[in-house]
Amino acid sequence: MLTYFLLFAAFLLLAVRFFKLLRLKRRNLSAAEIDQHLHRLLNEKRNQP
Amino acid sequence: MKKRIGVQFRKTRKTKHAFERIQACKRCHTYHVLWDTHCETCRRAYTPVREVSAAVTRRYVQTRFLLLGLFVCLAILCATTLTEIAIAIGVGLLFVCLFFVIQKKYGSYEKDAQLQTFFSQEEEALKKSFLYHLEQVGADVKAGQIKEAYEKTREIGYFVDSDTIKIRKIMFLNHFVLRKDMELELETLIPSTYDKDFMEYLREVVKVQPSLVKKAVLDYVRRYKAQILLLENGEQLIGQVAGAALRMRAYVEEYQDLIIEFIDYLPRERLLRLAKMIRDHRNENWEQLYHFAKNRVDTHFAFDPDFKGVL
Amino acid sequence: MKISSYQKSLFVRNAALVLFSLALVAVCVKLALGYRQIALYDQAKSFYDANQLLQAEESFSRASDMATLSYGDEEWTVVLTRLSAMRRELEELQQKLQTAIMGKQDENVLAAYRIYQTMREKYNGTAGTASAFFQQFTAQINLEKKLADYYQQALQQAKAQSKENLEKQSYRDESFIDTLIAIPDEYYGGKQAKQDELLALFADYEKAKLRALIANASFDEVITRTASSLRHYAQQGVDASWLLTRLEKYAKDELREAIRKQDLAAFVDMAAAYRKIGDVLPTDSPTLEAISKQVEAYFKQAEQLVKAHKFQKAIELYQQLNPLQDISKLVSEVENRWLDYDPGHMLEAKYPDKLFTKIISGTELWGAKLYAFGLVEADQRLYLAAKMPNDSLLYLEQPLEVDMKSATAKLASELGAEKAPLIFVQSAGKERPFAYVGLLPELSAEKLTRVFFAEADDFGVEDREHVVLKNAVGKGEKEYALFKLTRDGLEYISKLADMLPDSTDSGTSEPDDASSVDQGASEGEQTDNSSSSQTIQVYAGPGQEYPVIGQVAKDAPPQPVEEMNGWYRIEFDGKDGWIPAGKPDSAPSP
Repeated sequence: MLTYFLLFAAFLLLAVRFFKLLRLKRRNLSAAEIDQHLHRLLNEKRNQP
Repeated sequence: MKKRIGVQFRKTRKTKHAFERIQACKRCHTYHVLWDTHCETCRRAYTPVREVSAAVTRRYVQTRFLLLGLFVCLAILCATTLTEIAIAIGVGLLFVCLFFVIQKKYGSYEKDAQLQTFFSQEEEALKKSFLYHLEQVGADVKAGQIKEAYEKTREIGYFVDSDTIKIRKIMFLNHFVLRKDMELELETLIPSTYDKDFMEYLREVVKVQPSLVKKAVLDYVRRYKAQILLLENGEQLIGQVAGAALRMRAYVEEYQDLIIEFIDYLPRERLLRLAKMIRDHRNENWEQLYHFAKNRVDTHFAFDPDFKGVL
Repeated sequence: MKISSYQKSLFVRNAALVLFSLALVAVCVKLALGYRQIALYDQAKSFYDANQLLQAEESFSRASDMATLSYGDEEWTVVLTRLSAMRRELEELQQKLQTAIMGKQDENVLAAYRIYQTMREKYNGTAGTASAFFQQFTAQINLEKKLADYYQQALQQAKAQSKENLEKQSYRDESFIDTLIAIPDEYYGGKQAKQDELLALFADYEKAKLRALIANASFDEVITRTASSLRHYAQQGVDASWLLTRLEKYAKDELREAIRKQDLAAFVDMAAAYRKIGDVLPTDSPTLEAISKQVEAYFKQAEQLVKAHKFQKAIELYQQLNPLQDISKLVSEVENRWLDYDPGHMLEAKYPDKLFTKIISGTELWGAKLYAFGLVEADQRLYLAAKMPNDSLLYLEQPLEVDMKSATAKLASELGAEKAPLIFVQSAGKERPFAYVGLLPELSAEKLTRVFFAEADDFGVEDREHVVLKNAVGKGEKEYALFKLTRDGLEYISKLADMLPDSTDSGTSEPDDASSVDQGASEGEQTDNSSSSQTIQVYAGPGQEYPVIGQVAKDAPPQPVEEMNGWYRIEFDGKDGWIPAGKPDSAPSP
């Protein structure tokens, strides 16, 4: 019985991974967005001179 | 007027995206945006941050795979009969195959997402690294190495566009003789408020690289016209900026009020270009411009053979 | 220092890798073991099909022990599982047996034998695989042979032990009996054979032992040991009635001999000892019956002694019989009857070492059922004993400052109250010929009070409250004076007459008004008179106050049986009589 539970857990892991990757694919993040994100990160709290 | 020195700036690396300029030292957990290739602390070669992120992503995928494998192994270990073992092995292999299939199909999307996450996670380290760079700049300034200071600040400026950085760059640039062959910047130096040093820089840079004058600069000049006029030769400066705007018809269209106001301070070549532009593209919106241009030409350049028959 | 994502991912990945590697190794091991297990199962099945049960079971149990996989419940696996359980049981049994044999633990060997016996019956009774396996496996481990060897050896040793005991006449270690009984029937050749052999063995042994004991040991030891043997046999469920018969006969003979020799002490000891082993004797034991009958006879004898007033003998007899029966009630009854018969016994029992000059006893005075009083010269005292209505005994004493040599005590029944008269003591005086002491027992207050003391020439009783003294010391000197008896002593009332010049101080008083004080004196005179004749008066008790029951010749009085207070007890007409002790012509002074 435990075997099946563990196999189910493995299946869940796979399913979660699949849906996560699917979500990322749909979002289709571009490099420009990443750049903007980085820019936002670095300029929100300005580093002091 | 301080003495300007002639320098040759280091060529900046052209990258499509700013993050491509960031390099990481894996051992020291520091980041570097300058031109060094090796970490000054541990002498290890820097790795592009994208590569580092890719490694993290790869390990993440491996961890997931190993976790899956672990579950399958545990399922096999918990099996009490031959049938259960067979089922566990079969299903396990199936899951492993599916994992690889999913990874192959959708794995690439993970890298970029992971990069973004990576930056979010490494925010503090990045800021700390930039602070360190600024300290280096400070040390260069103290040592009188303004060129290095500017070059470093320029690199920092690709990421941080605060007024502080801009003003520093402007102040550093005002130490140098500007030439046409230099890789100069203008738009990236525009501060959020009126700055005298910026005007000083603008005055010099518009002489050598008027093509740098773009919309943002024109807007800035228009906004702070009153303060600029208070400067010595302020009108000439505005006139030169306006003259640089004649490069594009769109600018003429948009900034004709500025051009009209400072038409008297346009250089001869620029006035000629304006006259030709009016002649070629005159429309009902440009009537006033035509009028003032014609007036200027008639009053000051009636005998100039280049202006004859233009307006 | 915060760990970077890069380093964190490295740690996590490596940790997962380690875990996965371990799990993978475990899986490989499990698969290898599982493969081996299946191979063993297959081997077991092939052995099973070939009916090689021992090998099949061995392979199967090895496979089962691996416990990597469970095989399921096919028919042959179920059979082999049962056979494995049987094998384990037998191996455990073998282990227990081995340990018990090494440690010489007979109970454990027997327990192991019984388990084996049960298993044998269970499996030999059924046909099929289980039975075949049982036989094969037990043959393989030599279980039967081990048991047989052990018991044969035990049998030999037990027989040798019994022989040794008899030879050495040492019976301390009789564990061979238990051993012999514990050896299972089959090693004797069957249940009946065992019973017969043991019976013969035990009978020979016990008979020889009894003979030796009778020859060398005391009665107590013989019957104790024999009883112990009987108990032992009873405990073990062996019928030893033959031994019981012999014991009964022996005891009866010994008791009879003691009765014949009239050795009461020996009889009582033997009877008591025999009764102690009553738990091994039958309820209708003739010897016990004989003992009871004899004891009854002794009790009857005691009763006869009591009837003959031989109280002391009766009590002694009862006391001798005490080990056999509770005699306290009987003795107390005899004591009561003795007291009733002779109240003076109260004093003798209480003060056995004192020599009483004369004991006077009676009944129903001063609130007591019985009383007795007497003088002890050595102690200068008068002792009084009384049995109260609640049957308690009261003892009082009063010192006397008079000449004890000449002192006599008597009951002054005319002085004082009718039911509480005074005790009158007369003795030689210092200033006068006589000293007189009056004592009043107040038993309720447990006091013996000296009422008066007077010295005078003579003493006479006027009435219960008045006395006449002649020439008393102090008041009433040289006259006949009347005194009143009060609680504080004698109170001078008046002069009755002057004393005559030629009055002598004789012991006898002659005033006309005075009645005789000493009623006993007349009796004493009578005694004197009688003593001067050729016969002696025989009294009912040891005192002249007792009635005279006859006379005996003075020169040939019967042999005295007992002496008490200057009197002899004699047999007179089939009953007890008392005559004065010493010279026949000198009666004891009243």
